[in-house]
Amino acid sequence: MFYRESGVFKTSYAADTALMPLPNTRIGAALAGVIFLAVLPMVFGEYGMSICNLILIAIVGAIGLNILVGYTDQVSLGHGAFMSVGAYAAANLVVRMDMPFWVAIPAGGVMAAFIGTLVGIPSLRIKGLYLAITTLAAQLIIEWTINHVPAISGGAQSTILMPPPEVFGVVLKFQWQIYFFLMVFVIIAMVGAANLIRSRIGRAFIAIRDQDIAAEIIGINIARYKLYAFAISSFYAGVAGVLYTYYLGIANYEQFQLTVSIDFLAMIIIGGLGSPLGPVFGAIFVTLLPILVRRFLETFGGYFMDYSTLAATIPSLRLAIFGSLIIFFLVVEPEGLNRLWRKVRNYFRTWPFSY
Amino acid sequence: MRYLTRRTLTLAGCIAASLGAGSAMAQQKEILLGAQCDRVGPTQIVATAYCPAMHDYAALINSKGGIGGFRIRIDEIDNNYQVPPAIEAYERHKQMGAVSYLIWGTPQALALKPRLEQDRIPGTSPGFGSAAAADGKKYPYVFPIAATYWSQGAAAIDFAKRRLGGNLKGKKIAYLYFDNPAGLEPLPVIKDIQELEGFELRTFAVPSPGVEMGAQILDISQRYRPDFVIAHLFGRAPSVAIKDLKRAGFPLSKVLGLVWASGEPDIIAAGGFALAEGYNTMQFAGVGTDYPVLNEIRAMYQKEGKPVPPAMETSVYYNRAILNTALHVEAVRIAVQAKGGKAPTGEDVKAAFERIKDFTLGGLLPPLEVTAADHEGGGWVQVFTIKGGKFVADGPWFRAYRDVVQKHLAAAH
Amino acid sequence: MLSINNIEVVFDGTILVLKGVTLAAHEGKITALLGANGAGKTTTLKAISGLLAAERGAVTAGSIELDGTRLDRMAPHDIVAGGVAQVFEGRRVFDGLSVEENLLVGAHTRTNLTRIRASMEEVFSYFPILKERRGQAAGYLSGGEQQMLVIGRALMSDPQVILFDEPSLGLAPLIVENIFRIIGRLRDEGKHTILLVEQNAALALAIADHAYVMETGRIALEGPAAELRQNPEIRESYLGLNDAGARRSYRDVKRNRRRQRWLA
Repeated sequence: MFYRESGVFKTSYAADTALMPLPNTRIGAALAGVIFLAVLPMVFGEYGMSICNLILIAIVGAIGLNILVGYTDQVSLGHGAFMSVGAYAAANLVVRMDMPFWVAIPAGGVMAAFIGTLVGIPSLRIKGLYLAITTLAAQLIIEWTINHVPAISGGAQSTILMPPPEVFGVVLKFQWQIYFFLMVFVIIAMVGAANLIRSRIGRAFIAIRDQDIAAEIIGINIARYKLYAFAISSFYAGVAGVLYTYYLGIANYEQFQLTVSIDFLAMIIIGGLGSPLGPVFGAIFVTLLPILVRRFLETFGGYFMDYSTLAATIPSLRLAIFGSLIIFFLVVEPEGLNRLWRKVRNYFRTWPFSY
Repeated sequence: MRYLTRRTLTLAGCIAASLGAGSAMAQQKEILLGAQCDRVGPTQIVATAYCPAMHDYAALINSKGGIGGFRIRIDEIDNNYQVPPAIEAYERHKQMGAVSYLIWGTPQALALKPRLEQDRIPGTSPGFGSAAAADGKKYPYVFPIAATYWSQGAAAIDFAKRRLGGNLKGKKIAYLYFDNPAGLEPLPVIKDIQELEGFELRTFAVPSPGVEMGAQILDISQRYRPDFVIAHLFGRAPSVAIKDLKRAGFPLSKVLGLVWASGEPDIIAAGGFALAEGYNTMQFAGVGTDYPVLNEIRAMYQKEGKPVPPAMETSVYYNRAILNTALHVEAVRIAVQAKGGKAPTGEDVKAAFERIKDFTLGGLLPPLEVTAADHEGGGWVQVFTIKGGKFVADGPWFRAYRDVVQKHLAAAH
Repeated sequence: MLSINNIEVVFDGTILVLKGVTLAAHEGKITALLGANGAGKTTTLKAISGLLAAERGAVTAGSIELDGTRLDRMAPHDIVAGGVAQVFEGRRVFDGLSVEENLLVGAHTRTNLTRIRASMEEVFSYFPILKERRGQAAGYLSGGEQQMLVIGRALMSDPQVILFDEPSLGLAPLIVENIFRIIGRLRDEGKHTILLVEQNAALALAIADHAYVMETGRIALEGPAAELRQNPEIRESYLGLNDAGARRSYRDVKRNRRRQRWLA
């Protein structure tokens, strides 16, 4: 899996544009596929699968935010709100019109993309922190709207109960079933994003990120591509929101508040901005680490104190450790976990003759 | 690089070891109750007193030999008032074999509803969650078990009516609420009662996080000048409301805080009991430290030679946790009895919950009567008024406008 | 032919920067635009490529035409599609993209893939070093290579007119020479219309066919490059030479400045 070519031996453009340039990578991808599709569900129980599912949904959302923040350099604090837009759009379609999941999921994405594009309009004039504040305002406006418009929120408690998805007549109830269901969308999301970034549109995003004026003078319509970035990113957010709603069985905007937007920003920053695997690493890190830290504390804390004290200590300690680990990893590798992974990979690539 | 790898591997090894060791703890026959908490998040003001109480009650039961030979074990996982950790915690507890569940937080209660049903584990959301869950037919595995927001709203109007001389016609009532779904929930019920009673109603929304409400308070005290204020606030907001109303010269005796605007920490944060004199609080569990079960817990601590935990001073939240935990333990007791001493399943505990009756722990709990149809147990509340530096009960447990609440329950989805 | 007819440029609605500039760049020729710092050279280029709006500037009078098409009312990306490419000063490559991707993104306005590939081969023929480095991230190139990449990227839009803004800025003399040789080749082999803004007047006049000299927002002088090379004003002010071909003494600077003002 670690092997890489020793030079450039490409003879055709087709070879050059291949997503996985080496047979070894392809074998590696196939191996990862086997592990994720067969081994994990067999090894983990329902609990393990439930964590995997949370990670999978987070990956979809993080990939979307990475397109906007990592590749186009437009900061957004409204990602959570876009997720709720997708969630409510889909929940309304499913509950009121009895739509199947393959309508609800894209529809949720499209609705979120529409709202996201509107929210992106200020980006045409403002950048950086100023833009972040306008998206923050959008987050609050969307929350308020959902809370106060019963036609969207379904009335009491702004909550719509969502039936589990039905695939080929099978109602998905168990975590492993949902895992496979989600996996399909994660793969589509990852391959889609990887190809998008290598396309004309993706290159335009990166050009805007690296040098927006230079991008303008080589003929990129900056306004249009910034809005594309918002639309695509919100589409991913909307889809993640719908997946979340299917997973929880409920659409509720309080699950998509500002803290969620910040969590997603944390994911892509820790994972590595503007890298294809960054959001994956980030989603795993941010979702899994608090759980591991707690398990660690539960196990070893038991030797020092009784359960009641332990229960009172763990939450604070977990926050502190989780926070310090984030700082630790960012100090060790400011460019995120993706970079760390590449360093490890390069280390083994030339091992044992590093230099 | 090389050092980092080694360090990472060591860390990973430790974590892996901890994962393996976690499951090797259960030896004695025990019954597991899953519990969630939020000791560091936005609702920590409640959790600080609430969560220790759960463990105290379990320790008390276990010190008396447990339930039918079973130890009661409460496993607590913090959800930080977020939904994904709540789901993860629930799945973990389910895997560990929890037969009953203490939910934390309204969004979390809503998100867990379908899971509890599917896994047949009863869960309680006392004083929060969806009011529609009081209907046991539609929400078979969720037990609000104490007054829902609908019952609270109805009871609040009834209290105002009594305070205002038994007739609300032409009176002005202000509803000051936290602008979130839970804050909005009582409104439909209150509006229906408004038609019955003919009072004037105006609502004042406080946006999250609820620490700034100068304009609303000014509007209430100077412009609208209501005859009564119902405050449905959470977190830091209640203390701000009390402080600001006092400063604006509005008599606190004409203010009633619903159940999450009613704790000792709220009063203390507002400036202390002397300042809040006259403020009315709605409670779904008894307030104060003088109940038999609390005396037993204190005695237990003294016997062990440990100091009494400071959490007990916060009697509002502490006692609510005692109510919640005690009802779970009581349900487990009924279930164990029904199974002839065998360990009950979640389904058994659910059925046992629906048989809880005449269980008041010496007045700490209202006269609940939980049935298969009514998971709320009647919707009882009690109002405690701050008089002379402490909470004083203003009359017995009561409930009101049940027909209106029932109508809404029937219409809910 | 690119022609600028008596344009005025105003920033922020108050500051008049170009006060009636007129110039023409002919096909297959290099037209140089010289002048001191702040004379308005870059502003002129930005007016052509439509970049003034980003800085709250606007062309308030006059017109800019490319073979009869008005450019001064068009959006920047439409101007590029219309055949005008600009090589910005300061080597603004897209660090995160590889050399090849930088070139591809330069062809953003075009859709025919085979023609884009052909353009890329053409760029590689001008700059063989870029072909060697095609897979490398552009941020890791040396300064000279980055300047080549930026020129190559401008070529990828298949332009009729290329605007160069200070291509010699911050580069070693050897590389500057190389770059100017290629600018010459672009004129001779590619038949491009080239408008060259340059501080290094000697270099620019050596390569250009025609030249304009700007001072404080106006054209002060114009003429065939060969003629300007002999112009005593130019020799003094821009080439730093006096009539005898020797360096001037500082004592004469005062007089020089006075004469310049009179010129403007």
